[in-house]
Amino acid sequence: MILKLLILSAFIVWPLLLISIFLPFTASAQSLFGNIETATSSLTFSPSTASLLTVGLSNNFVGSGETIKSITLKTNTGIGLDLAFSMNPNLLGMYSCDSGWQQINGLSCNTGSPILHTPTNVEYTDSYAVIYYNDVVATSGHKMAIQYQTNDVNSNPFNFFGYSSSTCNFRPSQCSSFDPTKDIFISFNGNSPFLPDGQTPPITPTIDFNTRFLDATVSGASTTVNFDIDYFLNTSEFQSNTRTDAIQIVVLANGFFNDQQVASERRFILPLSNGTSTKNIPIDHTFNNGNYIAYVNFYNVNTDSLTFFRSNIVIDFAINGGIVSSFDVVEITNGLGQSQNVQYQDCSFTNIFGCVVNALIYTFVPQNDIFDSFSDVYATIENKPPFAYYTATTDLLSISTSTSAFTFGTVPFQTEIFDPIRDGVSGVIILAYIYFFTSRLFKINI
Amino acid sequence: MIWEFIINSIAFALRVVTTPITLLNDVTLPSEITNGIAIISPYYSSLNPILPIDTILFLITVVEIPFLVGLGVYFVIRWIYQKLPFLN
Repeated sequence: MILKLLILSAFIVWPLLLISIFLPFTASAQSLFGNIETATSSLTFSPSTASLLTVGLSNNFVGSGETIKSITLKTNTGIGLDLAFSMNPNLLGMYSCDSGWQQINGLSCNTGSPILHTPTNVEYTDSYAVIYYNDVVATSGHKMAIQYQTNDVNSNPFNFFGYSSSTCNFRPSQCSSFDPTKDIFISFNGNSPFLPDGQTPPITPTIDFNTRFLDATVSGASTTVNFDIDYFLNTSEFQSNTRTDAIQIVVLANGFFNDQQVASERRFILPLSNGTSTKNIPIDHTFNNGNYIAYVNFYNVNTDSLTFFRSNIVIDFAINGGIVSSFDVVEITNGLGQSQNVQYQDCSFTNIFGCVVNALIYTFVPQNDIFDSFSDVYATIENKPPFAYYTATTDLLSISTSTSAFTFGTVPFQTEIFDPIRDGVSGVIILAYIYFFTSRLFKINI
Repeated sequence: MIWEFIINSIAFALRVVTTPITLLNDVTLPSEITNGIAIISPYYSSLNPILPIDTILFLITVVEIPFLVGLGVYFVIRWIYQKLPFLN
């Protein structure tokens, strides 16, 4: 009898489980992959004379909410540098010297480390010196790289803001008027319009979201370590006139970064598409054999400071023999349920209602990690027959072959016409299958 | 509390039901199959945005085949069960 019940339960729970597991991995999740941006931005400066330079602003700069009103570069008696500008406090100034980004040829500095000042409570109209470079002697022949980023070290390379956008095409290599001995090239990352002087800053976007890191794998060699982060994202509130990139994954790893500096972080923009996806985070660095710890956090850069994050995991990984030999992922917190308006109330004689609310929450509201057990079950069978035939097949199908002799071409009006039709046909197929499946189920003589 | 009990019960039942499957070896597709999938992959990628091939594939391979296999296993076990001489 028990055996019968167990086998019978398989007929009911398998389809429900598998539908709930696999549906998030279909096309909607795949659409996220194409939106992930990776690149870098940088600045090269080599002061040779004491001078006062004002860096031109580009009205094509992409990045909102972090409006830069003006930038003034000042050399201080030839041995120092002050970089001052007015900006939105959400803008994050970063710098690197001799290490870290390593994207600039010839990057070198004298001894010492510049002091980084992260602006707080700075109005748009205020001028704020972010970096005081007096602590480091930057003489001729030495170059310093400075990077200011609204969101990401690894951002779109074509969103550069340059010394002269009209002639430089946002890239110093194409800027005929750019003089590396006295000019400063600053590149900003972002995805929304830059406001020139005199314009009203855009609406500071507000985003509320539920997140969770689902899984992570670490691979690679001593020169590049790849973090593949599976995450779930659900934006529940979004208000912005332009910005679409306010949610980030930040990787902060000790052992090869100085975790006391903002510059040690690697920030990666996430699109505001809901669903489950994977973010590949390559970290280029020369790793020695040893143990490392990476902290991967979800941030909302508009409402959360660097001291608060929604979800985070800790990844321990080891490098032996020049390759990643092992890793372990531990979830610390997750952001699921933080915006569900489910909060425990004060329970006291003066607030009996709060006790009732707490009792109801305890009784009916499940914990955030209640579905972890389903993920565990799925993980144990995803590579087993017959389920693996589906996962392996879909994995192979998702690999595009550049040598394909057949291309269907771009379908016109895909979003407007064919996507709704496809969703409708897919729904009809599923409903029809459920109808025939259940009707057949009742006819089976058990 | 209530939902946790229900969900945990379902998860436990699933774990029990799927335990025999976990004893099987991992699937490694034959090279002929992988080559075949690689050949049809561009056709799939081109047609899938219009026709929900992934939905059909999912229903067949994840729901229908496991259901039929499970049903067949059930009938086999029932047949063996009925043939045991010491049971009525």
